[in-house]
Amino acid sequence: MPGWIADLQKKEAERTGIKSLKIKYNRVFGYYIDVTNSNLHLVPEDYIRKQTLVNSERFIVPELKSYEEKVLGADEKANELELRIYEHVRSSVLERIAEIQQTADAIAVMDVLSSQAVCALANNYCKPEITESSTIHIVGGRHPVVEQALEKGAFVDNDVQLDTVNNQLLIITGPNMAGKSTFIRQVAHLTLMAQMGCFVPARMARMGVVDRVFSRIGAADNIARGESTFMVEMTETANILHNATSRSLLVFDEIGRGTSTFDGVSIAWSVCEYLSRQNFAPKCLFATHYHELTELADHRQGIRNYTITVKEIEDRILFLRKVEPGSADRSYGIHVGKLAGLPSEIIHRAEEILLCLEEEKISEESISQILKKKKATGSVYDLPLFQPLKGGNGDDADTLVRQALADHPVMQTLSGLDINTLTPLEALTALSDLKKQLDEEDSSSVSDQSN
Amino acid sequence: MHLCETAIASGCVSMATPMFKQYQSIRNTLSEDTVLFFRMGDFYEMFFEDAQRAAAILDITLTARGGGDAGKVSMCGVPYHAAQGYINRLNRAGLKVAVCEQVEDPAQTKGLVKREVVRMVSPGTNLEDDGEGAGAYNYIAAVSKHKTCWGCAALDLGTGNFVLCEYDSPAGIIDELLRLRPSELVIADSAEQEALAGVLRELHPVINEYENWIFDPSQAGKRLCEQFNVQSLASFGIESMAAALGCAGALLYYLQDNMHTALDHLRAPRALQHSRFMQLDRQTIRNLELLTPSSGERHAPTLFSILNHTLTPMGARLLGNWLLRPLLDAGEIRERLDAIEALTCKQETLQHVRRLLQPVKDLERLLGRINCGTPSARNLVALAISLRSVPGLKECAAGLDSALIRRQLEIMHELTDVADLIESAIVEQPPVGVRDGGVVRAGYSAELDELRGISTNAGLDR
Repeated sequence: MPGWIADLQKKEAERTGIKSLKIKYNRVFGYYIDVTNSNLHLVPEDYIRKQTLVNSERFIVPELKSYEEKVLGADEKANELELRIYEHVRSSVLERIAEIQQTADAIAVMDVLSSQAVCALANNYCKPEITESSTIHIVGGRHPVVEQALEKGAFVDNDVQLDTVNNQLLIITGPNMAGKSTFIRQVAHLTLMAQMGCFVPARMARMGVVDRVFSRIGAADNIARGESTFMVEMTETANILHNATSRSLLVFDEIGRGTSTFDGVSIAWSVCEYLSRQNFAPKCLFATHYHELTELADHRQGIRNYTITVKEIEDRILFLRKVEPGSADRSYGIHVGKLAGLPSEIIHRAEEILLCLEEEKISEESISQILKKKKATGSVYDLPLFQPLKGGNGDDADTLVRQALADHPVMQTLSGLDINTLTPLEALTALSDLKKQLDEEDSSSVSDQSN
Repeated sequence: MHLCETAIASGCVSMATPMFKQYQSIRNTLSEDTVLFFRMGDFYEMFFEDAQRAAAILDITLTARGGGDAGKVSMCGVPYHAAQGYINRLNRAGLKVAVCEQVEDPAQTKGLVKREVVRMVSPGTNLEDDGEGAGAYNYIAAVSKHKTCWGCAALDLGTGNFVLCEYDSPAGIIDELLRLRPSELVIADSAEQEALAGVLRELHPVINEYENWIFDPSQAGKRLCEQFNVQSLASFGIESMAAALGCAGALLYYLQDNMHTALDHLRAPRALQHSRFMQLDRQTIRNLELLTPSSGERHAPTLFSILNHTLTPMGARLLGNWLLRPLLDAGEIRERLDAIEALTCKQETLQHVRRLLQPVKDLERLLGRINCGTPSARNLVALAISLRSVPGLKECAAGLDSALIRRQLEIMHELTDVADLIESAIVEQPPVGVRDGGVVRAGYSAELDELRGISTNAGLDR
């Protein structure tokens, strides 16, 4: 029995001479003094009788009741006091809000810095040299996200040199899947990382500060919102052209892809021209599958051609993923179709058609030659580019043949196809349509003859 | 509104029981996107359409209850002591929750107990949700057009962060909103919303419509001066940003309107300076997959996920800021790079710093919760644990050769007295609540020890 009650019990037992006197507790009466019937004659006058039982009687004294009140109130009081203490501590803390917030800021900075140090060490990043020049020079650059998905060291690194004079607009051609997009994004990523003050995945990086990074990449995902892909692409391009300055870095992936080939190549061509004007020469990376654009390098000082290397082994292609000066001689679209699992029948037929098209030399005259011609006759750079002009030199037999060919429905259908965006199923359907058209032509010409 | 329709449809308006009349009068003051938690005994009950949508989101059983003569109404409920988890889930689903309590003691009341909404919890004002977003800010933004200028103010109630910006076209605001990613928007009900339709579809924040007058810049100036207890806003360098100030005032109005009045932890609003940071537009943020993967796979890596090795939520948020706001000043960039280099060169120090950062909790959010969250001594304990790392950090990082780091160490306050006070007063593992005791450490208060001694002493025979 704990102290105070035990003490009281002892004291009362001594005072009254009742050796068996007990202090007990129940829920109804609280604390009480229990005296057996044999000792009732010893009960003093100050005891207040509360209850009579068979063998004993129960009493209280004021001292005991006041203690009881204290005990029963103690819990409640303790909780109240705890709440007051909590509030006191809380308000003492809140008086120091400004200091704690400053400390939190400083800790956040230390956290980010040490996070970036750990990241740099773990992934073998280097400290970029930040310059006031307008040159970006990266040696052994890697794509920070893509490299993580590969085994360590498996990512093929690449160099890049960009400036506003001799390496201002890099046109990057190469087969689909070779890594054009990865390469141009990588340059944008490294630029942003450098300017956020982080180490970069490269062996060496010398980065002139850019004022903005713009990108126009990939098929837009707004189709679901009912906007045309091409409209989105053009809106975004327009926005970039309006806002870029000579100190900006621009990254374009497959501009003009969302429309027909002629439209697309024409827009891509004129965007490149616009971006390499004198006095307005932002650093640009321009990935494209329009080989026609590689001719631009012959006409503008700052435009350079780069290609992503592939190796052809027998009839397969190996992506080497190394960016080198030069241009891709073909797009390997059919190879990619094969990789993607198009039926071999389609692949063979497509190869035949491709061969046909190449032999017919539809684009015998390069764009630049056509443009030059047009310029010489005083016209502006208007299109169409490939199509011989109707009502032109009518007596030119070659032109007539080409015109007839170009007017052929199969040719028109073909030129409207963009192999890069076709699904295997669409390609199959398109081929079957072509075949049907040809058959119809044949039968109609046969019937013509028979007439 | 929708409740009335349901009620009329089920024919129970005129015959509703007194309790339903009370429910309805409270529900009618709330907006469509709010769920009313109606306290009945140990439960918060939801009725009508609130019950239907909440049951679907919370995956709890939808039942029916007699609504007077007119038959059954949909109903579901959650126990009051577990309400916070359910509130979090409703908030994450883009709904606000109005918590309505019995404000009289039912034992002392004849008839219907008086009830009142005592708390509004919305996605942007929920400080208790530790879910996925700890490493990111949770902004409430306000946008408004003033003359030809587009203003925006954004406030993270949890951390007290308060930023302002202005643009001369909606495009700038749209990009800014995509960087801030607010969970709630306070906006006038007109042209602004139309101009932002695209970004609103993408971010789908909770929209709080207000009339134009709450965006009034001069009223806002007064409101801000009062809040931050200053004579003029010049000291914050924001006095000329009329459009953005109007928005800041609207945010304060919104908070008051929703019973969030303990705002001592709010930081002075600061202007996001266009001249200091590179403006990244939404295409580039998306195309380069800086924060979110474009493929739609939620857990695909992004540049942020690759770079993020931070150990504290404050650090993660700051890294996100650095990523979305690259610097333009070569000197400032070099300072950061030098600091990182200093750490990579002293790997032992780096590891030591990391060990010290490990136990640090979200100091900013802790302050927010201590100031205006649900009372819990756990926040104080977490604060003390975090502060204990500061002296070590100051000491071990002192040898690093970096001006940026030195500046951080200078503004770090050891606050040992605060940590001492908390640790001497509060037990190591306090209960969630503060009303039922068990919070204060023995030996802190003689009076408390005596009170506790009495009840334990008396215990044996009871």
